Amino acid sequence: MLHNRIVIAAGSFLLGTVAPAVLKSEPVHKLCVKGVAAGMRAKSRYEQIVEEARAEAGDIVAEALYVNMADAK
Amino acid sequence: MRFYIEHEVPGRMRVRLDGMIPDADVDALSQVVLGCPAVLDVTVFPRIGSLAVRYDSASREAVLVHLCRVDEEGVSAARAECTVALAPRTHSLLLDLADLVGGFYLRKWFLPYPLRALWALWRYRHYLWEALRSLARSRLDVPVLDASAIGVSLVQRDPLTACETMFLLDLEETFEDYTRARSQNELIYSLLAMPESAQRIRGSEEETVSATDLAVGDLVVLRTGTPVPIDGTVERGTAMVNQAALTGEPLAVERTVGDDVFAGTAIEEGEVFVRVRATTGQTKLRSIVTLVERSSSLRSETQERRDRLADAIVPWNFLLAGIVGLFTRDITKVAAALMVDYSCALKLTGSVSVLAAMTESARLGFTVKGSKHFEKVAAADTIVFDKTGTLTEASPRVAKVVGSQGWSRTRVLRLAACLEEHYPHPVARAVVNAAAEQSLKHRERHAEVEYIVAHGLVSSLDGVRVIIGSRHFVKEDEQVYFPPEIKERIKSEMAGLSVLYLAYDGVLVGALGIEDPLKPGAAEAVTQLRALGYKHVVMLTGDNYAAAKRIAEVAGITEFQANMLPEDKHAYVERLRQEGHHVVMVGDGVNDSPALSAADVGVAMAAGTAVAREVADITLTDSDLQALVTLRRISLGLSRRFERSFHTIMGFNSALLALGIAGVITPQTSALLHNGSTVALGVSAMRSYV
Repeated sequence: MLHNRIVIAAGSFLLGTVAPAVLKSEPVHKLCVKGVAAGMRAKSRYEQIVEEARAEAGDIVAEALYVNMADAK
Repeated sequence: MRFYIEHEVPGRMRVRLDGMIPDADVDALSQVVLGCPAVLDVTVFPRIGSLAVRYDSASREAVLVHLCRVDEEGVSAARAECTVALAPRTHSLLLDLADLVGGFYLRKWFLPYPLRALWALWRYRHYLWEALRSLARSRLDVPVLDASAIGVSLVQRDPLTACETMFLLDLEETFEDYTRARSQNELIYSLLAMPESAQRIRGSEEETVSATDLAVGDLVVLRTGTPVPIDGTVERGTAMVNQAALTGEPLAVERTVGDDVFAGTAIEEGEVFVRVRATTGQTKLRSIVTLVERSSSLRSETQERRDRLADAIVPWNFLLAGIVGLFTRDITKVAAALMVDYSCALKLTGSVSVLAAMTESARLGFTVKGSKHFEKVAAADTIVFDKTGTLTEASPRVAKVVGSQGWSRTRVLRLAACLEEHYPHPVARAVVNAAAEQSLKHRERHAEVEYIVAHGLVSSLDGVRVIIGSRHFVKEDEQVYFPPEIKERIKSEMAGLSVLYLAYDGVLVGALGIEDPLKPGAAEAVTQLRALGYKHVVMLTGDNYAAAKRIAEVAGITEFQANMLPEDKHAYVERLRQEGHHVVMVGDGVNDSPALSAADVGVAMAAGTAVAREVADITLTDSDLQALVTLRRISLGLSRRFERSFHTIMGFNSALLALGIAGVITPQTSALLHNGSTVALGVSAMRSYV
């Protein structure tokens, strides 16, 4: 168990010191930018889908109300 | 604006625009589209660049033409005017929820275990921080329990349960924020809906201008029943000013020469000439901020009580966990005791129920300034109506005019209109309208008009005293002589009408018979209100006994009081409350505002004066009394829903707790059932009330 902990601590230390250097390197930086951009696109697309669904739901309710009203007449 | 119709049924269409709509333009665009009188309602879908428009189905062409005409410039102009942009955004609840749910499942399905654990730890820091803050103030409350429950899951290396709990808490917070934003918006809109015109004095002339055109240094005159649109200093006159919107003080304060008056307040009685110190543009922001700040105190008492209860249960949760830990030495069972907290579900169902009530109210035609008023309406056993403008039509009509002592009917009407035009009361409006219909021109020849609330007006014309008002006021208070000839004519020609008496130089010279018919549907509304549990339905009026009796009989009201002054109405409401009744007061005029503020809940009619709407807790957006029935239904529904969800939550979660401690179910199952039931109850609280 102790052994494990030492490995984890050493790993975290290494990650902490190396991570900033890695992030600054050109290719990794570009990759990160692309990754984040893709994430943002996905989020925006997802929000569009949600809103589209909401709009469609509104249409369906409106049409249903109209059908009921027409039937009542 | 270029668009095509994506979906259409008679009375509603949804159109698609060329591109997305920037968030900043959403309000402005709705305002511009609502500018077409045939348009009833607009919903904007900014991300997909779509607009759903509900309209009067007879005017489809007009709506399409209007939509074509909407352009960039119009929207920019509207954006400049949109102070509403300050209001918290409320149209994004669904998206916020979608983001929350989407993010949660994305992480649950795709994030590998170590990253998920890191994510959970990272998110946990907020909860830990809140808990430490509570502990630092030596309080053992809900944040501490939340942090402990999540913490126990993390310690047990179960980030999934920790994430689930945090997700539910986020969900609750989103709803709570939205509910708050929503009630704040209601307040802001009710403030913005106030008519914004002012009487400006130029030399010896008085002119009506839009309040936004006023400049610093202008002189304006403010009279009984008008809102104060600007900040300024009183130069002449004295008035009772209702500052409830700013200070929360329900009783009007006297403002006289040298005193300051502030925008957002209203003149309850009197007349003041005010030099403008700060214009609408400068004051509007402050009025809004003040109102929004006050609204935080408007949370419903039941909600507060449930929050306090949730806090009060926490120490017992901990005690239970401690005892379980002591006897079983089993962290799993301790976790079971901590995992089930009542607060999450209590808070979530609470705010969602209130939100549903608020949304429904707005849709059905009333503005509720804060959720606590629902509760008061539900608890009320007495409803008190003002007569004119509330039970009867908002626009009474002059049905008959008689003149005597050589005064023609035209002359009587002209002078009456000249005096009455300064006062915002339905009867006064009726007189002014009657004069306008006959195209009578009246120049301001009289001196300053003195308004005796609920009684009448006094002024002087070429040095002679003129009086217009009720019989009581003209005959008893002012000792006017009633020639027998006109007395006879009033008796024979004006039976069943409310009569306004006009006296010139101490002699009655004319009378105006005002027809004041009951609103259609008023009697049914009264019957329904009784069926919904109002034990007393009372009508108060300043009108004479005969007119009051007639209206009360038609409306089916057995308790009524006639010849009431504003202070009598106020005293009557006070007495009812002292007798232990919970009172809803419905009114519309200046003379109702003391009673409106004295009642547990004050409801102002749509056509009511600014003061009435300012003082009222609930404003109806149209004048149909059926809205009162709906209001009562929603309020009762809300309190029933509160009650029911409280029992369900307590029962269900206590059972989970017992089963968890007994070891029948694992903490994971208990957390799953707990969280699942919380979401289910939250969703069921969204159902509509009527």
